[in-house]
Amino acid sequence: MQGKSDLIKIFIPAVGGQGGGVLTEWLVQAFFRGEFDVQGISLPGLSQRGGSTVYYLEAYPKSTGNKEIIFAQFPVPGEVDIIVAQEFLELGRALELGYGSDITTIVTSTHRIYSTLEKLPIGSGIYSDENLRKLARAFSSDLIELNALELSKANGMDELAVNAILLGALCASGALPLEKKSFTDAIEEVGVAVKSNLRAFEVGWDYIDSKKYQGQDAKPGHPWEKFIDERAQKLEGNSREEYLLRTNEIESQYPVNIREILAESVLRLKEYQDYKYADRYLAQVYNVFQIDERVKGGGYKLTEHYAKNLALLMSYEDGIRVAELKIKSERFKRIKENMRLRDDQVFKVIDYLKPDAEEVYGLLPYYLVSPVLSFTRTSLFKKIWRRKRPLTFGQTPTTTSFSGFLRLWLLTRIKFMRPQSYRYRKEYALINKYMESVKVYSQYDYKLGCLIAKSVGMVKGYGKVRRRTMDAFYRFIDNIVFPLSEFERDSRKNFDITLEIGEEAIKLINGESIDGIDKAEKLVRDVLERRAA
Amino acid sequence: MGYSKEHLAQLEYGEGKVLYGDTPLAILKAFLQSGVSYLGGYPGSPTAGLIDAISDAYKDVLKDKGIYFDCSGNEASAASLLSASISYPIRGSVNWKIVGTNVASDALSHISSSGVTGGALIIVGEDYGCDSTCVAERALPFALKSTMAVIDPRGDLGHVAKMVQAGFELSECSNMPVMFLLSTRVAHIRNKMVCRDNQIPAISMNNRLDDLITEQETIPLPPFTFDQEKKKFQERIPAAKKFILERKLNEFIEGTETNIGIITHGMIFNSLMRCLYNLGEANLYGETRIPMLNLNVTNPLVPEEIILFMRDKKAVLIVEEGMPNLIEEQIRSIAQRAKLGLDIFGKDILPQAGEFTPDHIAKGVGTFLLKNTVNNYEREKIKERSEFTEKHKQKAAGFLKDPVAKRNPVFCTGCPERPIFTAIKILEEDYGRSYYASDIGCYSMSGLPPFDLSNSITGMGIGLASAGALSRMANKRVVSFMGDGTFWHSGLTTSISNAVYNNQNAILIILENFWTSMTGHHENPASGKNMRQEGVGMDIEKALKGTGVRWIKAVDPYNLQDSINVLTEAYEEDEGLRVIISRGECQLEKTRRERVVLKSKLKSGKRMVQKKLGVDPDLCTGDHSCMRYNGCPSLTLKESPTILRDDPVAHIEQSCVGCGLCGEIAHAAVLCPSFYKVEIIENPSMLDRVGARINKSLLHLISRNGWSG
Repeated sequence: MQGKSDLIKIFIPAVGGQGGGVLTEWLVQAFFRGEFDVQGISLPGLSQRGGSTVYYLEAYPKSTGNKEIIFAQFPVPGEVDIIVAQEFLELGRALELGYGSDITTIVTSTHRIYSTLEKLPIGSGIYSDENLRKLARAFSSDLIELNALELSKANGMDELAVNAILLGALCASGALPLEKKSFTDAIEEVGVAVKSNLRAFEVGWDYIDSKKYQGQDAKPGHPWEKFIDERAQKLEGNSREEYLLRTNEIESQYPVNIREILAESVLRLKEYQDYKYADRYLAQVYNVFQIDERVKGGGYKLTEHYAKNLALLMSYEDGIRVAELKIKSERFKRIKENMRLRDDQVFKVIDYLKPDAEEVYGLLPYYLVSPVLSFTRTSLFKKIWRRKRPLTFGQTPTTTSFSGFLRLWLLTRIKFMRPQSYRYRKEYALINKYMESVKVYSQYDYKLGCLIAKSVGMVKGYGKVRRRTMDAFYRFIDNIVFPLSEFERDSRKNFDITLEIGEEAIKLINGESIDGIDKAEKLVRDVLERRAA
Repeated sequence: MGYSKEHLAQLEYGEGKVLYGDTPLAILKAFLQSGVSYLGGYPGSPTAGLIDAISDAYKDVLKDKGIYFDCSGNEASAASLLSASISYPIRGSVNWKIVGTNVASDALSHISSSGVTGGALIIVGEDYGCDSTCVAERALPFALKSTMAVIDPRGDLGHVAKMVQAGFELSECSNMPVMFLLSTRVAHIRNKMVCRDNQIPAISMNNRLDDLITEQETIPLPPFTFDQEKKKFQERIPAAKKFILERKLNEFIEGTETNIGIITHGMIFNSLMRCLYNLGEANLYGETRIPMLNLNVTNPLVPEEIILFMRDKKAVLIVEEGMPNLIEEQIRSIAQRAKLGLDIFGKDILPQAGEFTPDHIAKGVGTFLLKNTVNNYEREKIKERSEFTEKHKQKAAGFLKDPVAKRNPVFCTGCPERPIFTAIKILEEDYGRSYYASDIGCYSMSGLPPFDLSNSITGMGIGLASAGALSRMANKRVVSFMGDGTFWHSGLTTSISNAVYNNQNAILIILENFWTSMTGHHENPASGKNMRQEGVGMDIEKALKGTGVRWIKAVDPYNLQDSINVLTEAYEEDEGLRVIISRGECQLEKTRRERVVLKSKLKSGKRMVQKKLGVDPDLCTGDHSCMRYNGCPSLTLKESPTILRDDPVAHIEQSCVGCGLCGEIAHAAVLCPSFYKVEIIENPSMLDRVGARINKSLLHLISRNGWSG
């Protein structure tokens, strides 16, 4: 309202325990050095506990004479001059509360610390960065973005360096009438990890001062050749030839946005079983690709969803797969990198494995398992077997030890039995259902086909979780898509309802509980009743 | 954490020197300047910082001056401390959060009835905006019912300090204990203030009282109680009014305008001044067009002052935060008695309940001005300006269709309290939901996602007792939570004795983490030392046995399966009180301490094993079940390594402290094989090295893939 005045108001949204207090203290001290009267406020609330916290500063040129400025403890929405945001979602929340406006300079880190609510959904609950960016653009006069966390990592610093980096960025932005020295002196005065914070400050300062931040983002897309080469590197001699043979074929047959998916899938399925297996996959995808070719203008969405999901289904995670990935040499390399291990350190990797009964007998041949299973359903068995909780086989092998490694390695040796296994049959019932549904429904309507092709993504997890998500998928096809589409086929020309409810159902199922399918089914019943009436 | 030596050194500053610090430090300095003899309190927001300052300063500053510091067991103990000031010219101050006043009430009623000789100041954390676990209540009504004076300072360090000193004098000249309201935002100010000389208390631990004479009149027993009641209103209140008037504790701010005025109090003054500035009615120095009366003392009110301010005015606005709006009601009756025929506005044009945020104040003041402005051009200007903040807020709130995700507080990385709630969550699959009676502490967060394990929160140490009736009247298992802090605060008597006495059928889980963590890590009887850093060991288990609890089991929270088994036992046993003590030190405090040890060990080249957890991104299918059982900050999401998966997979950040819970969960809830634990051996011994080498070569024999460990 008053627009810019000599009074400087700084709002600092932060995440509890991320050092926002120190950042505020630096600013207070910097202002003192710049001959300002200043008041800092911190509202830790439930501080250490990762909730949202807020800091607020007001500064005014040192008053001459005996008049004293009256500082406010409450930031006024629309009157804040500068927002320094420690984390991107917190910036969004601050702006949503109205603290940003066309007089506000925003200096923000774009890194995310996901909130619990974002982590819970079965699908992705991550809040869109694009939305946050929209807000930031709309409610600022000047927006300075930098991923302070990446910067700190890139410079071998810990996550708390984010604060000094932001301070440096703020200083370089020139948004404050303070000398660079005031800031560095402040860091020394406050005395928290002075050396590393001064370094971090310089990193942030340089990053903005050298204008590196402009026109950043948009990560470089892999060119096809590089993509293939990376993967071919993992294979030896003959196998590599085989692989390149197929990728060349893929290159000749498919549009760019499908190629990488197929190349990735072929490698995955070859590792999973063999090239014969991968070829079966390619053949399947090709059929669906034909539909896409006919439709045109679909942007090959159908094939994209189908190719991704079919590959995942065909490489379902059974004991063999798990064992293979657990003893892969790349795995230990990755762990060493992630844990920043040096060679002078000795390390052990202990795995938490707990297959349930089905995951174990699932590996055995179908004709062995099925009779036993049918026996377990008899009342006689129930008399003998009184155990309430399901049978599980918990173990924590030290995979880096000879014995632990050997156990897993032996498991990988029975790969050849996989196609005869009980689990294989079960998974293939699902896969066939999927393949068939995609074909049928894409005949009805292209969009509908895409919906089905995408929907199977809901099948996830291990043991009981996977069983429940599998069940959810069957019910999705039979109790949601089928009745709705049948209804629309007779009564109308398009499949708008099926598409809308279908999308809604997928959202529900991918929500915070697998029971979402129940809600979805009810939704369908209601819709059909309403329509019938 | 805590106050540095440099900060505390400022407490010795003399006349004219400038101190820099936060409000608690300023208040403590003011205590010293007032020659205080004893201090006490129970930690809680927003006064916890004051306890920190006091306990940090005890050894080097307070002790030498002979100032006694009581690490009060609860607010009642703190309040009762003030009886030292009843008969003797001893100044003392105690503090607690707003709801603590309820716990203190018994002592307060008696002490305020007896009246005090020495200045007795109660610093109450007024938290009407509820920035901590509390309810929206104000202290004023409480002070009125027990006849205590109330000081509500505006937001300015120097002023706060001045008011603290005035508070002691007010208390002495009126013989009333004085409540000093410290609102959350004022409590967290960092600024400079000009100091005055400290006074050494005449009576202290160094200079003790020889004989204790007590005037019988001060004992709150009939017949004296009646005289005390009379004194309250015939002597104490009038004395207080006189003092307030003479010392000009309330501030009159002249304005150019004569017809209208505004009366306000406390920190609202600062917000109001800023709103007037934004409305173009005042400058930043508080020079305003509209005359103002700022009440630094909100009880008793001084009719002379009120009348003086309102006389010759046509309309007055009272900006009073909080309900009941006793200031406004009293002013209205003062005006009525004095037959002042003016319009008085207050909660009729300002929001009745809720924190007075700038937009509310601006709009209220705008409405008031409009009622007293005729000029149309002026009216337009006022309207536009006074509604600007509110409109801007609405615009921002409505900008995105999909509102920005909320971030609720979570248990810290490696927290020893979290696993119990995981165990209960897992057991819900077999036993269904129970009735969860929660309490005040970090574990109150069990009521939030991902756990949602809270049917009620009733207050400190009260959770179990609150489920008394339901444990007999509902077909649900009663499970109650209590911390070691709340256990010693009042839980032992209020909940446990009560449960044993009534043979309550319930399960009590005591989360013993050895600290009162929620307030920012204060020692409590479980810590093994008090806030004076003197060793004291108090044993929860013994105390339980003493009250006659028979079923007591202790668990190590990080052993999830064990906790699940013990819980199952407790669930199956369907009678009497079953107490499970989950013992594990607050991870924050532990890491803070161990970080130092770790560094020195690393340097000294000692062998040391560090643990970290990880997730195999190619094994994780991204169904996030682990998150729904856990809620650890370091267990988060990241992009899947394969382009085939669109949804993010689980990921454990470097902040992991290796408590192993996520692995335990994967096991206990039979989730997935994605989790692994890495044991890193720093400064490995010869044996480690050789072992590793042999192991490596053996592995190479089988894998033949140039395995590199």
